[in-house]
Amino acid sequence: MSVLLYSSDTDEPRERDSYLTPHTLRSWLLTTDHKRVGLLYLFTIIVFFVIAAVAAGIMRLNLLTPRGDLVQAETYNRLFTLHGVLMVWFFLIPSIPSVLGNFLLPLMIGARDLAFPKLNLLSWYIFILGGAFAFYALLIGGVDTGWTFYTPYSSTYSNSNVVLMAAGIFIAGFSSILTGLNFIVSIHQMRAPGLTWFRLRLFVWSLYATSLILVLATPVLAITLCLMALERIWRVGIFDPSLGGDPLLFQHLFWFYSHPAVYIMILPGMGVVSELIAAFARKRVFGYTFVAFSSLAIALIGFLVWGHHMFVSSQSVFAGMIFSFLSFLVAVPSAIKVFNWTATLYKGSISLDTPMLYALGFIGLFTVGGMTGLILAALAVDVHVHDTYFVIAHFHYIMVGGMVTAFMGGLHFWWPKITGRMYPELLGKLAAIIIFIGFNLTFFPQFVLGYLGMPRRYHAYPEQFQVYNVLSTAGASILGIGYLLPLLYLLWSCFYGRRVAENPWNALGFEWETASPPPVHNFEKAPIQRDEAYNYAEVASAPGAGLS
Amino acid sequence: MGAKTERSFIGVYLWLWLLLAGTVGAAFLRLGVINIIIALLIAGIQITLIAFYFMQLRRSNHLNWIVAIASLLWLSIMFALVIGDYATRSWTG
Amino acid sequence: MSTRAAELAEQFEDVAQQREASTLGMWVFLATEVMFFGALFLAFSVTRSLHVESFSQAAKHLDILAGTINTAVLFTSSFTTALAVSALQQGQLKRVIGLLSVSIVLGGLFLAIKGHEYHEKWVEGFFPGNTFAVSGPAGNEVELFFLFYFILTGLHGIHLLIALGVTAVLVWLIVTNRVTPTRSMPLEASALYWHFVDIVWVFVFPLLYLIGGR
Repeated sequence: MSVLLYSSDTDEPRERDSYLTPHTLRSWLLTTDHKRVGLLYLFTIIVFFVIAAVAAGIMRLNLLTPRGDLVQAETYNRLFTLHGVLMVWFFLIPSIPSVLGNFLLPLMIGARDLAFPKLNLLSWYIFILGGAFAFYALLIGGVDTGWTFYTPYSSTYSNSNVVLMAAGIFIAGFSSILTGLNFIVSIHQMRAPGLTWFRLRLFVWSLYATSLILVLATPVLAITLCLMALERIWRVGIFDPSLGGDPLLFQHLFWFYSHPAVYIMILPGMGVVSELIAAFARKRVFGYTFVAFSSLAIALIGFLVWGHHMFVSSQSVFAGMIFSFLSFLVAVPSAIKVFNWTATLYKGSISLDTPMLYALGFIGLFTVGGMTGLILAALAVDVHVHDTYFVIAHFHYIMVGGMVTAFMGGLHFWWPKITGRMYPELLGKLAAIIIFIGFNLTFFPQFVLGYLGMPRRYHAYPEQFQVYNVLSTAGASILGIGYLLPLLYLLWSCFYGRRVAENPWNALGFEWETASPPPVHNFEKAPIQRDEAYNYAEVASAPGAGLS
Repeated sequence: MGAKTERSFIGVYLWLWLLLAGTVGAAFLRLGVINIIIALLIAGIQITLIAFYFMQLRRSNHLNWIVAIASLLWLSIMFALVIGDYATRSWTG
Repeated sequence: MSTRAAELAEQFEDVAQQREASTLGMWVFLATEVMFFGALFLAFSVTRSLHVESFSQAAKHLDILAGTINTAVLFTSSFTTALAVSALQQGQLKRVIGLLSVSIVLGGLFLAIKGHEYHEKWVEGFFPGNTFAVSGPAGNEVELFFLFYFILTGLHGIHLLIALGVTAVLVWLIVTNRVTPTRSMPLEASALYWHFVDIVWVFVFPLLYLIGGR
């Protein structure tokens, strides 16, 4: 396999062997290369994202008018369920971990692959199988319970394809578990010489914390879905009060997983942001140790707060107070990160390349989302805004404004490493700005709507809410264009983008010390970590790497 | 590994029989809530023996200990907070 | 001399790293299983706390003799599996195969006894669903107990079945020299899984058969 990056005559990088050759379908479908598995996940989650986004589009169109006359109520219920299920389990949860994590983790720790490469490929096939079940459930009519599957509606009264969808999610859960297991073992056992825990990249720390959640929380979801499905099949009443059961038991079990799950859907994004801020401020992340530990703290405390989804469920008031207090506590490590990123920017050598625009957007939008989370954590306020658009706005600020934004930033940052080609920078910046504007227009009015009392999951609403709904739908169309652009130009760049050498951003990290795209076994020579991470101050290099 | 380990296996095996006899015997006594405590305690001892000796946790890397303990810890968190809700439902003001 | 698969997988630096990774991987997997069964135990405990009387009455219908025998059968199979790992590390291949075969037989015996119990319950009308023998509100609660009985023991049984299959494959791997004293990780990892299946039963047995008194 050739290692030449440059021809002897010119300085231009040219095509040579990497993990992307050979091109046969068989070599892709039977790969155990973590980089290819990451790409397999990328192609898959894009499909699910598009389907779920179209569903949201239809919902927003329906909400243009108060009478909700685009689709029937029943159809609307199936649409928001589709949107939630696909976005949570088939897009967000695998997004950064299974795409960027799979691709980058071995590179960042200086390993040739993950600890269990075959298990990695298996996790993708399991994901596909789960997705097939979910997709089939959608094709034959979908589910109308909401992604939260509350009982006894889901287990007794719903006339939709609950068991089939639950089976799909159950299966996809194993994909999560295997990925988390692989990451934990790899980080413990396969770090390069000199790479002690406190020299690890912050993205690796965030993946470790995420993997703890993947491994400890997902099994509880599995059994919960299992029990709900069995209740539906056998008409027994674990969760049905008329048959001796308790619907709150379902909610406890469901949220024990689903709250930590939202931390699965933000921690990796925070890890990416740490990487982007360091690279584009050319500065070591301020308070590295605090940022590292805050990932673990979020993972741990995140397991203690699930009852804040149940404040008005008739859960004990005392329990509600405990959960409220703990929910306030979990905001602290997140805030620590935001402060440290800001401190990193201070006196940094900042270049506003596309990835940095996304990182900065993340900090602002995540902060709004996080603060509104505190508002929701206050028991009395939650009584007013629970199950309203306030909640919807809150979690979209975090999941879209936060996680998806980070995913886009990371995708752009590591795109040249993954493909060996650069995306068009001007279009990148344009899309980032369109997304930011579209996002805020879509979701900020929803805070107002929720506070004014518009409930969630309703296909129609009182007339006085129309203005905000129209604003929101307008924003959604702009957001759609914003996401369409990268889909197109990233694809374009695969064939026509400028080829790059090892380190187009002049960034620090093992992945930037090998070819773009990397060879199959990542490194020609096993790397050794000789100093702290993000040692920008010591490295004399040309400022910035903006390439327009 | 070798004869010494296998002797410890035999010891554990005998203890498992003894404990089984104990827990089944105790079930026939009417001790109210103590019944539950005895049953769970004996189960806990059996599990510890199996994990430490048969699963060789005793001789294992301490990282594996942490994994085993963490899983039990997380289970306890789940139990404690859920049962905490049910136990305090009737508390008012 | 076997020229089968290299002992060292290419992503690892050395055999020691591979062995540690394999063991850690299995313990992490067992942690997920602890949360899986644990959540089921929690659901059972909560539901039981809502219907203490009915659950105690229902539990009396279980065959405590069968349950006790099964517990002994299973921890005996754990004993033989632990000995098998030790034997492999001492290079006593024939003994390994013998011990693993005993484990498989014992596991099969467990499932047979369980199957017999299931059949009994079906005949007595205690299988949840339309055919359940007891009706009315109290009947609902008894039915809930039996739902948990079948789910707990059923899921456990599925895990045991998987362990049986994996162990059978291991016997074949040892016979064909793919698993050897210097390449013992597959046996060590699957032995850990077998012991875990035993551990789950050690908990399920008192929970279902003994608590509530006789």
